Amino acid sequence: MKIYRRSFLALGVGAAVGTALSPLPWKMVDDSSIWSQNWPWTPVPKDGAISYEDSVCTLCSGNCGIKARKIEDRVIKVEGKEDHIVNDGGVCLLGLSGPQLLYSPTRVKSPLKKIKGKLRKISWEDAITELSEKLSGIRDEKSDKVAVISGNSKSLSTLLLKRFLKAYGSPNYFTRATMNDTYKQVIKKMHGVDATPAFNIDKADYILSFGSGIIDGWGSPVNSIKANSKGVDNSRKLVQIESRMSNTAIVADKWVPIKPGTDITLAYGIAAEVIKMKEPKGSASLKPFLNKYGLSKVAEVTGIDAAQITEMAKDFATNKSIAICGKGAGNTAGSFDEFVAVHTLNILANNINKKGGVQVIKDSGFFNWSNMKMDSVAKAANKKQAITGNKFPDTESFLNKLPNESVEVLLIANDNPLYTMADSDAVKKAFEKIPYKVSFSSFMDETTEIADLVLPVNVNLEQTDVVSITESVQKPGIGYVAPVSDLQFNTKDLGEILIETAKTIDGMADAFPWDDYESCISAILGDKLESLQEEGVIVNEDYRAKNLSFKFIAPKNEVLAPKGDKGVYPLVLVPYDSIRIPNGYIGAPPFAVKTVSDKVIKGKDGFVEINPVTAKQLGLSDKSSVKVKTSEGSCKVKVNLSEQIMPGVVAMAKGLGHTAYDKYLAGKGVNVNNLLGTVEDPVTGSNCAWAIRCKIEKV
Amino acid sequence: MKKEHDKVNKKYGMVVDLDKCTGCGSCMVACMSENNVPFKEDESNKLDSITWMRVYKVSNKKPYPNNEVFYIPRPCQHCGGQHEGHSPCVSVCPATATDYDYTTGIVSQVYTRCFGCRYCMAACPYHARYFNWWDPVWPDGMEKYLSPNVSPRMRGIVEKCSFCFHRYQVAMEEVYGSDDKEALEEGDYQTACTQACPAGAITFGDLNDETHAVHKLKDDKNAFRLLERLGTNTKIYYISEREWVRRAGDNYNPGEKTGSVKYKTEGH
Repeated sequence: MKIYRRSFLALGVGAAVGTALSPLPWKMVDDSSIWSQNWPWTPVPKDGAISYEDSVCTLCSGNCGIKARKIEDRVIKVEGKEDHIVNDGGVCLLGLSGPQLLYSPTRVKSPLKKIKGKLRKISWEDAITELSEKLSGIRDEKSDKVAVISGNSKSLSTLLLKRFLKAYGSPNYFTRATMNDTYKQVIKKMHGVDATPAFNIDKADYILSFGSGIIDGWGSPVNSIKANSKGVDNSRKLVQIESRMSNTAIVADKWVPIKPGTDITLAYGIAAEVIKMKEPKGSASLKPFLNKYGLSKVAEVTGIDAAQITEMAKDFATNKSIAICGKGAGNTAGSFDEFVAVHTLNILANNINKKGGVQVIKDSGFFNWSNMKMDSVAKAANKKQAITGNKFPDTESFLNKLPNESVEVLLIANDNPLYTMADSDAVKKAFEKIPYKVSFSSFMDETTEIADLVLPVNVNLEQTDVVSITESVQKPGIGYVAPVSDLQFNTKDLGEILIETAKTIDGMADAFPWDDYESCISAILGDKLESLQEEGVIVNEDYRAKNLSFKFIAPKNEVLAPKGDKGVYPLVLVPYDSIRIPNGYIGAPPFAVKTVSDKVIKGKDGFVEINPVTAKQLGLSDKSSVKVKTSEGSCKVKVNLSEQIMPGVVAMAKGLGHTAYDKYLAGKGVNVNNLLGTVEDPVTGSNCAWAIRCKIEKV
Repeated sequence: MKKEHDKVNKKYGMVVDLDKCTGCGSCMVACMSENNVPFKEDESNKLDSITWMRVYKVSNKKPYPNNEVFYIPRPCQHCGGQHEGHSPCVSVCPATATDYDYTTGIVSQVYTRCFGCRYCMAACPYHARYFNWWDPVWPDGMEKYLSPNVSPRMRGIVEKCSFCFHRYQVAMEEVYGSDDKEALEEGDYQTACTQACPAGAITFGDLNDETHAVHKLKDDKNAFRLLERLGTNTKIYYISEREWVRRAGDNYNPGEKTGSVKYKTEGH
């Protein structure tokens, strides 16, 4: 047989037809699609027995009841605990992200010590010896040069930290002042009692909110959102007074934009109108003072229509009303004068310790602390004043005045001050001067990165603790934080570390007589512990507050002008809290970042919200790049044109611009704290700044 | 011939109170956590950001100070279609990867059948479907929290809200295995978003069952569905007392009254 050129062609065509008719091509397509979907790196989660374990969330001070869903020993989900007195099944996105925090690669996996400029792994034994030697070494001469920054004082473990410092011999215990700290002082000065404020907003018919983000994380966040829903069911009226429309203003019945910093004038302006309609007993002394607040003057100062002020006053006087304050999530101290003005409205509404009003609660002693035995060093040191002076004796601490050059050792727990404090660039420089810094953080955050010693504590799902839920439930109460997960890394509970360390420092052991953290908890709670562990909470349901007398206080300020020269900085920058962007000591986990709008983060860019009228004056259009400058700093962001903000005011979200953490968070947007300054409150000494003046330039 | 699906079956649906929704994002995260939804470094391109449940912010477009806004959570609407089962996506799927379950009214998504043609995404009027452009990657150690109840999806397929169907299966397993329990009770099967919502804005249940809250709520005078005039016959109802909010739920001609477009449901 001869082979021609055609034979090849015929063979080729024949093979093609034959292959096409055979199942081969289809089989191959099928196989390749099966193969292409069988990537071995797509995980197949292991199955196993399901169980649920209850605890209390400690990721913020809301302290919701949670239950962890587990497969064998893995926590796969966090859910809200149904019928829990704080949150009744609801849960916020930070709480829901608990498993991401538990298994996060940004966690500190073991104790670390800075050796030759780098943090290196050490054992717990060495770490505690290191801390104890450092503290013992300077105790006799300068124990008062040691300071503590603690993110909260509501949990048993942080109370132990406070005790630790006292027994060691230093008065320098600092917490971040929140709205509650300021309101406590208002209660003390107006009613003469030491008590915790709580706000019964779900039972009020008319709520006048001076920028309080009821659904933006204010109070106990989930509890407040629930209260708002109950209010919606009961057709309550919510009036939100603020210059930027927050989510709370969105669900409010009325958004009242106000010139930033003029809340005090408005509150007294409303009070002046209210007192014309009803004059509660004892308010005669207030009358002459309120004469200053004529309607037209108030309207002019605040930029709110006189008719609208009268309407608010009328509604306030004729309903079961409450006025609330504490801007946004209430995580900043706020102004004493503003709080007094708002509380004056509450006194006029006669709602103190009434349903739907302000609850003034004396915390009942759930904790049975043994008498603390102090040695001579501690006794002598506790007579000394704190590093920050005692110009304001009623204020527990002024974190804003720390860091101070004389601090030699600084211990930091549950806070990330290098990120969270205003003017954070300056804070960072000051912190770098402190010779020895100890971080108890679970995460490699901004502050931990510069620490000399890191003693990593357990995250919320691994912790054992007891927390006060008084503010959340408006009655004295505590909740039990139970570990729902095994320890993922080489970490410890804060209480455990403190007890172990105290035992190794001469003269401190007597103040920490317990064998370990567990026996400390059972000694302090006594016979209450068993029922607490069983029920998850103990609440004093029978608690009834007494009627309180009151006296009015005149304000030192009528307007809180934002810091900065109006000529140089014509605009006002307000930072805002968003419940989707946690901005406290824990950075937003990947789930939370994913929910953030593309008008808040786009790629790595952050945004500044500007009213189109203002933007037009500045020649800016949507998404154009700008530089925002304040007296404290500057940053580059993009423009987000928004009708939800007053002209002349611009806003930026808090919680962004981390330099620490992982690629899901770090470098996205800017940290607005860098642009903010501090203003000393004339009464409390805390930082009362909320807004700051700024200018915006095209780049 | 009497078809199986002509019997009276369950029809799961949701009613969302938009006057209570705070836009807090809990539903979105509860969903991600429940359903092993992955995340990537940059999630700010919302076109490729997989969010089975997505909360939109809608404005009335009026200038300051008359601007108003509402938030609206959007899961898969589980369309019944003009004749029960003719959901827009189900009708176009060449692989039967998405199907209508007549026993529950849930539109399914079978990951292993899907080959990524994305016809369903084009057909869906609600942008409820998402394509996996990349393989999911969890950071080192985070794979530990993945739930065995929902398979992680691979590159090249479409995914969407399933009404947490695996929760239905778990609940039904208990019914099958129990001697005295004959049917599901309202609380036995709830979606993750419903359970997590701090505002209590979401109600979930069997729209056909008179004892379930959604049965009554869906007939509220302020209830509406999204793009009702398309006849998609969705199972997500929204409630708002605000007229402009209800009007934003559909495309109205000038002069048309809000709520005048009602799609009459057929079938079960």
